[in-house]
Amino acid sequence: MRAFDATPAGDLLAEFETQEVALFIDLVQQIIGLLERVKEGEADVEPTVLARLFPDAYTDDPSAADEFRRFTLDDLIDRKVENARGVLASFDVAQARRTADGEVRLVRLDREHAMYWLGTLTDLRLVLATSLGIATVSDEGAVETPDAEYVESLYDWFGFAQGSLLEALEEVEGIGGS
Amino acid sequence: MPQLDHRLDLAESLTVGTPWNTVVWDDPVNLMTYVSWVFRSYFGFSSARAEELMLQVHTSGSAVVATGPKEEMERHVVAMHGYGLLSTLAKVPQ
Repeated sequence: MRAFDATPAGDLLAEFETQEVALFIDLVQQIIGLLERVKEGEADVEPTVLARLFPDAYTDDPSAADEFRRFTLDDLIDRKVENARGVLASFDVAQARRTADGEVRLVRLDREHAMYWLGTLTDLRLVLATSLGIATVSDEGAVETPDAEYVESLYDWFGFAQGSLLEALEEVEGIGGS
Repeated sequence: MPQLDHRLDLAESLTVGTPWNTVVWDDPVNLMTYVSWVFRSYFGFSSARAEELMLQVHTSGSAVVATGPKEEMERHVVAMHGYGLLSTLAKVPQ
């Protein structure tokens, strides 16, 4: 992947290798699947993931927190799914370019799609961090699982993508230098 | 004749409920630049204010980012959850 950069026209442009695109799309589709299962009330979703994606709104009143979650869950899920679909849409329209090493995809985002990306990259990182045991300050951290190293590399990769997108966005919005 | 020894606090009786705080909590996942961006784009804070609050979240573990009526603070908390931040609401300590 080549990091996001601001174009003179004010878009955000990044380059992904074909395998990266396939991996990214697969994970985004998995997030959509997960969110849809939560919305349908299916109980097979890891409680720690739920607790991090839909956190308590009240620290010392569990019943108020539960009630709040009941009222807000559907809208939050819809918003997260909308973000994820926005990310998939930007891959759909990404131009292909041949390079010496093979084919790459040029992902070009306007501000609206950049917001979809920021949201989905956050959700992906939250889910990955939960499986690594590093999602909250009180987590013990470093869960030893066979694929922890792979999950961590994805977590870092999405962090890199999000960091570069924010930097490019600040450049477009003229915030970086102020 | 009205009770003269009873003082009525009009300001208190006319205020609808106590004000609430929207609190954002530190978490090890979200990038500092992302948290600042959320504060700028959702609350419309200046870069300097957003940066200040983000650093307060990061170093003190939490920061009050808004104060007001409960319903309004609930909307802020949902929005923060939408952005993936850890956020709660609590009555302003009296």
